[in-house]
Amino acid sequence: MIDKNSEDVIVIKNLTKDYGNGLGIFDINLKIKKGEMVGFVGTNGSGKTTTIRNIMGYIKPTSGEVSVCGLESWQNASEIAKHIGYVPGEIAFPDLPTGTAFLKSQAEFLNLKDMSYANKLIEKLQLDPKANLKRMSKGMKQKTALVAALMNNADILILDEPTTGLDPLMRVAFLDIIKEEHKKGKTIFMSSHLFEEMEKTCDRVALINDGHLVDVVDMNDIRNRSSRDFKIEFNNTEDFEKFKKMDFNIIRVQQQYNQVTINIDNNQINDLFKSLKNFKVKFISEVKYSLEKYFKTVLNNQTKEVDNV
Amino acid sequence: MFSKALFKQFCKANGLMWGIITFAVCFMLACVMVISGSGNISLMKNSLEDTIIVGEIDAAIENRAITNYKVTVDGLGQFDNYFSDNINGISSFKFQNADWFNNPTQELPETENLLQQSYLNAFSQWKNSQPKKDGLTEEEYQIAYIAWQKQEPTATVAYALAISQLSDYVFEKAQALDETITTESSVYKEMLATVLSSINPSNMFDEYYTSHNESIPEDYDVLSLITNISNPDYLNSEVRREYINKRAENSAPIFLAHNMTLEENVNVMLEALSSYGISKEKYASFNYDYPSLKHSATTTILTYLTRFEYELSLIDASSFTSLEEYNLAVQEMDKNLTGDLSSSLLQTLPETVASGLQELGQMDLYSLIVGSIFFKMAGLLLPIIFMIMASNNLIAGQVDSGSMAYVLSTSTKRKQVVFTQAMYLIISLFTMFCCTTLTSVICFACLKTEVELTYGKLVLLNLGAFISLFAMSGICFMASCWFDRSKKSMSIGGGLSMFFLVATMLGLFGSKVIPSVVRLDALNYFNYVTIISLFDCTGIISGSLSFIWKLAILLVIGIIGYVAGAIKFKKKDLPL
Repeated sequence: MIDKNSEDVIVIKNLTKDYGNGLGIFDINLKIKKGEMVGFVGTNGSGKTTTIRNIMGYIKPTSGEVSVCGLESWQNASEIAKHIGYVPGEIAFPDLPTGTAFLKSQAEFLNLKDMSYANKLIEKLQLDPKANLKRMSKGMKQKTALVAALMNNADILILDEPTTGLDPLMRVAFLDIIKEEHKKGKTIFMSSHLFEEMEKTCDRVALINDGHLVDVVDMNDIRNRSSRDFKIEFNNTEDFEKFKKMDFNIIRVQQQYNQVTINIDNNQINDLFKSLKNFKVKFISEVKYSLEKYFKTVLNNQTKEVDNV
Repeated sequence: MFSKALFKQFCKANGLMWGIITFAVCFMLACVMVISGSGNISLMKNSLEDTIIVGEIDAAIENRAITNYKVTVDGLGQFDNYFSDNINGISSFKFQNADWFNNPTQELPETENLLQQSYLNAFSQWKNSQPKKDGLTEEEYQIAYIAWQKQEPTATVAYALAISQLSDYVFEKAQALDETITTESSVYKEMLATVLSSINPSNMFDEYYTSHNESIPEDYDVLSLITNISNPDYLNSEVRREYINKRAENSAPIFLAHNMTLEENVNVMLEALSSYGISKEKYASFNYDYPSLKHSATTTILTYLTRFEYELSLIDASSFTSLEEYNLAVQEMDKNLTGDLSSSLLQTLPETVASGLQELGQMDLYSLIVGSIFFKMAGLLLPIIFMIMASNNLIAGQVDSGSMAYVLSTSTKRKQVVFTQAMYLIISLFTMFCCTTLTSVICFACLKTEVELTYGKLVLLNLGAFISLFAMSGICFMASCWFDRSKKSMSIGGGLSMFFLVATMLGLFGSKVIPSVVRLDALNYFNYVTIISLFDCTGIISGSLSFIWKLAILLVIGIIGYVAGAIKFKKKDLPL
């Protein structure tokens, strides 16, 4: 039976799906806790969709297993589907005339009598469900698919690249709705190849590359780092040379511009400014430490390791 | 097991296509049944049949006319020979026993043969009937004597005997054609009558001429034979030949026409034709009356003679080393010519065509069109198209596009999905054929012509068509379940179904239901590669029960397809 109260809603254990020729996913391990919002990033073809299909129980793992609420996915696909709202990566609707017809048909599948929540969603998304399904724009289709996934108020939401193809404004609105759902306590697993939106919304982000799970990072670690990077440019070379000799952790030097980039602990920032009083500084700016940067470092280290071996 | 929502979704998605195709099929069926049942087809068939039969009869008449003519000419020539021989025989007999003949006594001269015997008898009688002088004036006596003299029996005896010899000759000739012929055979009688009616001895055959207001020909000219008895070349002279030919030309058509309008002969003819459905009324409508028959015979004989002369002139006598070879060549030519003129429509066409036309006369066009052509081909085409599209849309299409995800993400089991889709396909096809059954029964009720078809057979035809489609839909459904891409499912499932249909169409032209005139036997091999062949239309129509196990095989194929497809769909990875 389904275990609604289990701490780990989705457990991926040693999951491997080998398509041959090095394609597929290999030995993935990931646990998603109840109420958590987890991002899943990776380049195109890195295995995000394959992982999600495994979670949904649409494909059979070569080895390892996925369980949702304690139930093995492949065997109990229909059982776990009751608790999952799913937005597929490729939006293709059944052969029905309008969005309304589609949503009604979905409601019938779900045995959903009450359409009030769906209507609320439609309103919020400013969706015109009477439009012809085939002629809908990509954004309209995404919205319709989202309504279909959300309307039965499932505990778990699995979204496969839901924001691809949406304009920036639409993307924000879309993410807002997802965040709202998250606030209600739903567990959300969302894949994307855009780091930015993960950064803003997710609690944790997993990185997949070439079928291997490279790293899982807690966004709090990134947001609340104990040190920061600053880039400083000096008006003249003397100041620049003088600053270099000071006791700061310099991580990058750009001689031709008289620029240095330093890494400094948060509690040392005052010291930095005090020191800088004596210099003619052209500008000083914080270099944001982004998720993208983090993963780039991780991936670079990994390739270096491989090269060294 | 069954998902109502999914079923509803599909009814909405494919309902329009189903409706249009069902309507089109029913409309087509109604048209086919009404048009082919309106009687036009049987009219066409009848006229075709009549043409063939009339052609056959005409050919027979022409053949007969020429044969009669030839037999007559031959017979007359033979008669001349016999007659002359007999005259000569009598003369020499008289010459040998000249003493006795000049002064007959009680002691009869010895006779060696029938001729001499008959003559002797006739002579004695004649002699006894010699007029006596007593009681008559000289003048009266002279007249009586001359009259008596004229009755000298030489010619009469020779004539009578020649007739009897001729009968033997004709009998021999008939026997040379067919050994079983006896003196009682109608063939022999007819041959003899042909010749004799031309000679018309003692006006025995006057009836042949008078019954149709023909002038009775003059007595057969034996006088010239007697006057030219000393000239042995006379018998083969141009003059005599001309005379014989003219006589035969006149008598042969009259005899033929008379003979063929005799009631008993007409009855024989009708009996022979009854197997082709020719009734007495129909035969009468062919208009074989005396004048037309006579005309036809005369024309044929004239044509034959002209052609014969022409062909003869083409044969170069000098190119032959011996007379025998020349004669052989002439005979050969004559044979060909006779065959040519009298060859019937059926003989001139190759044998297969001939039997084909005969089949055409016997086949039931209505059942062929409704059964083999509609339910096995034309009527299957549109449902097959629907079936290919629907079966593809049901599984592979949805997996390919990804819309299946919406179904599966709503806790609908795969088993449920595949079962519902299969049910949808089967039910939609079944209702489609319920509609055609209804249409065909209504159309059949309106039908007035008599056909081999019955209501039961009609329902069986519809059922058979449904089961064939069920089998193919099983294959298509399996392909749809097996492949993730509609491209593949379509080309394998649909391609196979279309192949079956096309093979059936081609195979039809090689199958036995098609008359052999238009049948191409090589195409029959197509019947061995299509499962639609297992839908045995001809078996159903003819009422044999062999169609049952064939339909059972189709049913099994369909079930295997559905089950295998369902199992595969349950187990495979879905790219959703």
